[in-house]
Amino acid sequence: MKKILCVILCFLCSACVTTVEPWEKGRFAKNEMAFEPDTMQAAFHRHVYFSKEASSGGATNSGGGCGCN
Amino acid sequence: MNNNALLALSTAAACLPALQAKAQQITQDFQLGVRHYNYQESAVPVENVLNQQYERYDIEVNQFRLVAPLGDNTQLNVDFQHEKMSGASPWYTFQLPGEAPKQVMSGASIEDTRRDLSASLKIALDRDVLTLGAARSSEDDYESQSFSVGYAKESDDRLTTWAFSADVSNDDINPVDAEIYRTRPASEQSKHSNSYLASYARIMNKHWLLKIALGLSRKSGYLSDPYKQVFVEGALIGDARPDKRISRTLAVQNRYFFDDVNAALHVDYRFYDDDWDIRSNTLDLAWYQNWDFGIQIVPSVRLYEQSAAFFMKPSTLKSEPTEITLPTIDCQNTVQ
Repeated sequence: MKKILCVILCFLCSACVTTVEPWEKGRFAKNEMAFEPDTMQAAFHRHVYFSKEASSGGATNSGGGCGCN
Repeated sequence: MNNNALLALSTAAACLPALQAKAQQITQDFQLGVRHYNYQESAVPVENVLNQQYERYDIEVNQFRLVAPLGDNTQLNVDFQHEKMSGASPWYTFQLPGEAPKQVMSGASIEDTRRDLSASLKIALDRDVLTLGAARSSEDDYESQSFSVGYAKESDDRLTTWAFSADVSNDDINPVDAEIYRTRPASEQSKHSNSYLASYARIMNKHWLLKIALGLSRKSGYLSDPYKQVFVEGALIGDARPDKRISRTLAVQNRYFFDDVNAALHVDYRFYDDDWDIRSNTLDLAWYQNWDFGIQIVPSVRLYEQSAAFFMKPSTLKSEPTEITLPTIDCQNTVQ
């Protein structure tokens, strides 16, 4: 995991990061640019994967459990 | 254009994203969502099953969601999920010397219902957002209660958001038919878990949004599956896993908008690692293509791979048994 973090930090310090003016942020207001555009479907998928796979969590908290895993 | 007019326009333009950001944080309208899902688990390949039970679960899910603004700065989210499942489930594996392991399935008579209610309150104050949540999930034999708290802060230039959240969960399980199947605990068992998440989201350029999240989760108590069994040295014993588990996650999410084709690309990756020697990699790719009349088509693919827990190893009989007798497994709610 340390190697992955190093790669990400180097990447963030690279020239990829540029200043974005306030009037250039319009694209980020689009629903498809949200981290979770469809909250209900995302919750459904999380529960299905939680019941089938040994790993869980990631970009959101794990939350409560269920008898499915 | 004189300097005063230019200043006024610049100020107005600078305020727009701020208003937009607040609008994204707190909804201004009531929203109601209803969904129905139905899916079936794939049948187990015939050659892998010992007891001619190939079909698995059939699952129906109904979802309800309410989002309600409570004033300018507060939003209430309420979610309810009703899940009904029926069918058969893998019970244990059986392996003869020199042969591949065979799966023994339960009878297809399992029926269970799960109800999951959760509510969260989101309070936005300028560049800070506080979220408080509670959830309760109940099944015939399982109860879970959890509470969460989250805090997010935007940078002064509104290009960066730091967020921290934590949750705690207490689960109780009362296995059914424990008087028939002695490997199941006869008394209530409990599980406790808590998890922490820190994330960094950044607008990288005018097309690209990036989020990196680090997570830590601890679970303790009864972490076994009371309905699973293990065939060891000719005897069936109950599933017995360690009573502690610590996991770590690293997640990276990318959102990139392509002006030319009016579409957004999602590239998400998650690395998972825990002290049961389970390590997994998950890659999610999605393409959000906008069309006329508000139509959006979203093809997506998910790739997942994981290693096995250190205690999951095939147990092979050392000699060929003269006769194999499988237990009767056809009563209601037997294996879940």
